[in-house]
Amino acid sequence: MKDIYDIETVGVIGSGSFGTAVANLVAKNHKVLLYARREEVKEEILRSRKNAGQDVHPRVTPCSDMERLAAECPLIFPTVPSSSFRAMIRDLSPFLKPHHILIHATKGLDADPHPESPGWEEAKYSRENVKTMSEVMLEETVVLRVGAMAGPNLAMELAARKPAATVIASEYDEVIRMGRRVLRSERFQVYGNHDIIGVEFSGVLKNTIAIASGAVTGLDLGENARALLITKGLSEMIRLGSVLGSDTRAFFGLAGMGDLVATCNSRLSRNFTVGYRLARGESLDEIMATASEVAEGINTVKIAKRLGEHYRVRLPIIETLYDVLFAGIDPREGLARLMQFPYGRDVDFL
Amino acid sequence: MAEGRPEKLKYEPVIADHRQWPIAWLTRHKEEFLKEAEEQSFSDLIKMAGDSEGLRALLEQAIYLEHIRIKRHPWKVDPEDDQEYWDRIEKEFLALNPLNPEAEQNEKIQGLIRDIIRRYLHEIAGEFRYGTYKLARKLLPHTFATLLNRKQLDPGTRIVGRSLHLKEKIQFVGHIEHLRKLVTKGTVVLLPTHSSNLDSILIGWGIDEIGLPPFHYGAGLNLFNVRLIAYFMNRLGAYKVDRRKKNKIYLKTLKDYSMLTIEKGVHSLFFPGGTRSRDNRVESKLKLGLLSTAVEAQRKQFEDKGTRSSKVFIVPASINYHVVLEAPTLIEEYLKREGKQRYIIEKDELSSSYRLFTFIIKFLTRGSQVALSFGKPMDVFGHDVDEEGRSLDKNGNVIDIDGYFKSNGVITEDEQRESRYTQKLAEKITDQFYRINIAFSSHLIAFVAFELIRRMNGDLDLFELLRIPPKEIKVPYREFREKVAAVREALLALKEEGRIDVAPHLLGPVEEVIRHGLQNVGVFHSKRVLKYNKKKLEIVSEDLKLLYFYHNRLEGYGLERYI
Repeated sequence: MKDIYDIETVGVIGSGSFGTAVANLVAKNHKVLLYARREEVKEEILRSRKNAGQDVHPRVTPCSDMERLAAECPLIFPTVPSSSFRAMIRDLSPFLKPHHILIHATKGLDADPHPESPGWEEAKYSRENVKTMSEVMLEETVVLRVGAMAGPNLAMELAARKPAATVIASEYDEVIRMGRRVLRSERFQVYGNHDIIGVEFSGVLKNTIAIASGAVTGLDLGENARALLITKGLSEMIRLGSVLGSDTRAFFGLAGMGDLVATCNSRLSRNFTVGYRLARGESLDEIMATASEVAEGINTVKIAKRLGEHYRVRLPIIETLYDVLFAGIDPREGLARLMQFPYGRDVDFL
Repeated sequence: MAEGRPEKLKYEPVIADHRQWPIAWLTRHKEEFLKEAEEQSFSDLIKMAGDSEGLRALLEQAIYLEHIRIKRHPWKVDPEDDQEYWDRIEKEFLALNPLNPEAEQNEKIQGLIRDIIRRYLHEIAGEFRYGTYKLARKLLPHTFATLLNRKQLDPGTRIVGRSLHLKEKIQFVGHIEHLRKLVTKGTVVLLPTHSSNLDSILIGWGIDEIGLPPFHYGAGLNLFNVRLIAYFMNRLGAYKVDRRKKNKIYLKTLKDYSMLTIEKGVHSLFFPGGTRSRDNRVESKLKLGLLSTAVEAQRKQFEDKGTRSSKVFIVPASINYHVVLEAPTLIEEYLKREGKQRYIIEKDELSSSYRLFTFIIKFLTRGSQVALSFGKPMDVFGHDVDEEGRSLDKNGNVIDIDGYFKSNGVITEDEQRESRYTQKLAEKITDQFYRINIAFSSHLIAFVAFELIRRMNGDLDLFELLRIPPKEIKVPYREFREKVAAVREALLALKEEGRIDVAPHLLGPVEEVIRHGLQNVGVFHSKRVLKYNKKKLEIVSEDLKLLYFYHNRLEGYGLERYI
């Protein structure tokens, strides 16, 4: 009998650094079609066999044809940033069939109105108009079997073949098994979780704390301060996550705690870098103008703050971060404010 | 809600030749079918048990639980040899010599399990016969009509000059034409809400009335205790579901029976809420076990028949009453058992033929209406289907749903996957239940009255509230009227959005709606659920629990904020 997980070709959508890293991981076991929207990028990969600072595995074929990707790949990993995720899924949707399985790896949220649209300051957010990527996939396509991939997976470390692990979250065991089968290698472990919403919010919300951690590092405040920030940051993530429809347990796994520890200490993280540069005196506009890839955390701060207001959850770190990023408050002043906040009990979220 | 169809425009039968009815096929091939069901359940159970330890455990559990059932919950309908049979099984099981080779013992245990499956199957299987079906079908309304013309039966009833057909009392609304088309395109699984033991008879009769071939339906075995009901049920196409039997052999046998009938193309009906809604709320928690058989049957169709497979169509339905005769027992049990385990009601207002009979007579003579509403047909994944039975995505494109059962191009059996699909289907069904629920004047006034009483006693919880002596409860008419008008407006707005349906009698002047509601709400109960004290300009209730019961029908729509 044919092995049901023996997929011939796996699709990856998004040729950024993480998409490329995922394509390379999968290529150890399978052929990969890597979708790049722009023709030049495809040509460049074909010519140089390099992309986003990584070598591209010989079994990875770049492609800019969504129809072909959907026709050849029963399993697809979308990895594009949240701000263009829905548009990408809409382009892909006409070619998707009920048999497809989608596992995304995007740590951002879909919000209407878009957090970068004019007048976003007035936007009100709740779970009515804020969706996770898996919810977007379910809304926009006929696919039912969806999953999310999250965890401490800094693309550059994966590219350097350093050991790591990830979580595949899905309501379906089959999706977890399938994800494990195609990703797993001697240097890469794959864990499973049924709480997809919890895993998604873990990965999404940790980006805000990563920015704050970058700022604390940039201000040279030391390890005690960072440990304080990470711990209180996690409790903020959990308080917000639990009103948004996730089980709190996911936050203690690789996608929450694990990813938080990795990104809050690493200059390889885009979100961390944003906070770091802010603390070193650059403005947000300057940082955005020179960053090569999107830091999801910036939009997430906007959305998370509004969600906190809507659900009446106090989020001192995220609120302060918001003021630093968008209301021109000096990072030092923001920090002083945080230290004034009357925190009560140490652990108040369990 | 469209007005009931004028009598002249009777629905023609979709399939005129009764030999072509799927259920007739089942009757003709009964033995063969039961044999197949036996094989299916037997191999499923062997797989489920895993090893000889597991097999032993299955058998032990069945013997143990069956003995308890026979002792604690014996029913009239139980076979006479029940005790004898299970004693024999136990004896044979205990007689197994542990010193004999394991294979020999296993063979014996498997033989006993097979025997039990066979016994269960013969109990479950229906006994549909065309001749008696036609007779029962005619008898049901006519018996009552004829009897009712003899005034002496119920001296309090003035029925002179009135025609007494069930038809006039029951309105059919919703996606009936669509449903009529689909019965020839695939297998329909009809899933009604459940409030009264009368449901089984009404829906069986209603299916015929809109021209559909008879459905095979799962009805509680307890109903067969009442001879009058049993008579009709057997002939209208029922199969028996015994909620007392919780052993794994029974549950698997029942599920496989249901699954295989659907897979064979026999239109089926069961109450997905499992039992009657105790508090009269629109059901929002469904029994996933039986529901999963629809998903499983669809997968098996694709597996066995490939491109020639037929589709399974899911059609939620809603049965709406002004009065549920069993309401006092149901709500009492709900309140008593709130939060605790359910038990099975063995006696209620409909548990004797005589009481049922008098109820139906009252029901017909006093003009209490019933509305049967058929929801939007869907596939087992909750997609809309067109008139040809093709599944449609959100944009109206045709999709092939067999892909949902495929893993890397091949159809696979994956229990966990199907349990998720079943869960999602259940959500779609309950969503439809809310949308096709029909608000009656009686529900409206009960809702408003109870919410006003709740508001006036803001500091009491539900149980304290229900203990208030009815005499102390008075709702000023003027406020009541104002709120009825407001909630009615809200209902009409919800109807515009397709989130509920409303009865035509809800449209007139507010006073008229209130009058209609007062006349109808729980009209056959010994205590008045609501009445109007004209002198004092007050609305009063003689039974708050019943008021709560009828009020609950409009729970879950956020209407409280208009009070």
